[in-house]
Amino acid sequence: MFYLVELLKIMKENVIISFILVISSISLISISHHHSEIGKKLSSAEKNIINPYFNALLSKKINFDTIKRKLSQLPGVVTISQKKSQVIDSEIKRLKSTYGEDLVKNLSAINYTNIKIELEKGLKSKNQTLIREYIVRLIGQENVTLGNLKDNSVTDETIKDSSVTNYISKYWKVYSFTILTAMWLMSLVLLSKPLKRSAFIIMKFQRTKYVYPKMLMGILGILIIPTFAVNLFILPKVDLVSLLSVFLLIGLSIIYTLISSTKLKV
Amino acid sequence: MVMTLEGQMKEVVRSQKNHHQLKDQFVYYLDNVSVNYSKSKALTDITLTVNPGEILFVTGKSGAGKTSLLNLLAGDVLPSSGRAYGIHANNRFVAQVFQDLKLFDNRTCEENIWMAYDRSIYKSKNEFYADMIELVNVLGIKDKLQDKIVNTNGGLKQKVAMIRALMSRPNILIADEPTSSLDKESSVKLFDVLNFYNVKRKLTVIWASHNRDLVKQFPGKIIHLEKGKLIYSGHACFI
Repeated sequence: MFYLVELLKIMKENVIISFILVISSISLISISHHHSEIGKKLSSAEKNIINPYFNALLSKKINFDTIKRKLSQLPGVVTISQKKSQVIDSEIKRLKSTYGEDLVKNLSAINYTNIKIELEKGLKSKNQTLIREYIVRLIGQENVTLGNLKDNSVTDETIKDSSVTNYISKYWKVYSFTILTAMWLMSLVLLSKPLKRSAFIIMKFQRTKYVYPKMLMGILGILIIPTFAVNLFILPKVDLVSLLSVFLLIGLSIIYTLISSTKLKV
Repeated sequence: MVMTLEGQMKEVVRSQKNHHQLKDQFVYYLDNVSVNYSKSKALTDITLTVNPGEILFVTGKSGAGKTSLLNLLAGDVLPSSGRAYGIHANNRFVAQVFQDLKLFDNRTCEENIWMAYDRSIYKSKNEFYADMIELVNVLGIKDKLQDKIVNTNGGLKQKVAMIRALMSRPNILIADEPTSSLDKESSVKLFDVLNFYNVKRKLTVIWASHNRDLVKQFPGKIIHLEKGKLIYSGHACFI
């Protein structure tokens, strides 16, 4: 308890370094634990940006699979996917604002399937219109409502944006892990100086040994293990990356403790 | 006379036995000890004994080797040559008053003293607090306990450092220039406190000071160092 109180005092006295240490520890463990979810989110964001698409509300009496099969054969169509109900609600809200309450009230009375049609990047607007017209002809005007085309790949800026997103989605793990580990190690090294000083004083005036390693390991105790436990509670799965990150932090702490304990002077 | 191998071996064993006896008899026994730093010699061929319950003053000018000798006795520096007994002995506890005091500037005087709270020595925090208040009253700093070290003067800092050292209930107290910022009256009072601990608790005191005139007034043994060499060893009043 004494070491913990002393540790908290030191952290309070070095608030910026401690803040970096706490944030980098929590981020590193949390990101490594949720890396696959973050990766999925990033890649889907990338997808949305790269291909132009539009949504369509289909009457439930229309067979989605048949429509999907027929539309897939069209040149310029990349994918056709069905959206979840939450997404449909938001789409109806959006349509409300575009087409007015009355139309959407009528539409809401009917059961709908929301589909997303992704088109090829750089497809001419003439061809895009042809695809939209074909869908209306195929399904019938009364059974389908088409949303506006969302084309994010048109301008150079968005192409640039998409290449940045693409880059991020590819290398985010390497960069985030490297930066966070460097931040964590740097803050640990900086915090170890006042820790050493305090440990030296404690050992000089109390009959105790190995105070510095105990205090340094105390940081592990109050940061790494609870953070890992909370993440495990939120997402109860353990994979290699999340385990590796915890072992990396514990390993680095132990190695640094052993190295820096040899010269315990202030 | 040429000694046989057996005779030489017996001599070695006898000398080792003598050293073991000396080791047990004294708190510290330094036998021709030298301490070298990377380029300079800090101490040269020091032979010294410190008895239990003794007050030893180490005098000398700046750079004479006082701090090096104290660091050696505290176990912070290893001898380069010679034999040193009593360093890192398990049956005693050494407390130090450092020359730079090593106090936490942004903590209060009281918080600094509490660094000496050792649960293996004190039964409760109340016991520690009672002892602390007693010492604080004697040295007249009770109303300054909540002052931050950064806002205090050198004299108060030295008193806090001394109280912290005494509160650890040591067997040996090593103090490096503990009265350099104190006036004569306060220095005498501080010595009186140490003398009390020396008599009542058999505290061995090793006190380094450049002020020979001050320490001459106190009872105890004195050694004088010059350029790392021991020049004088004897009773303080005879110097």
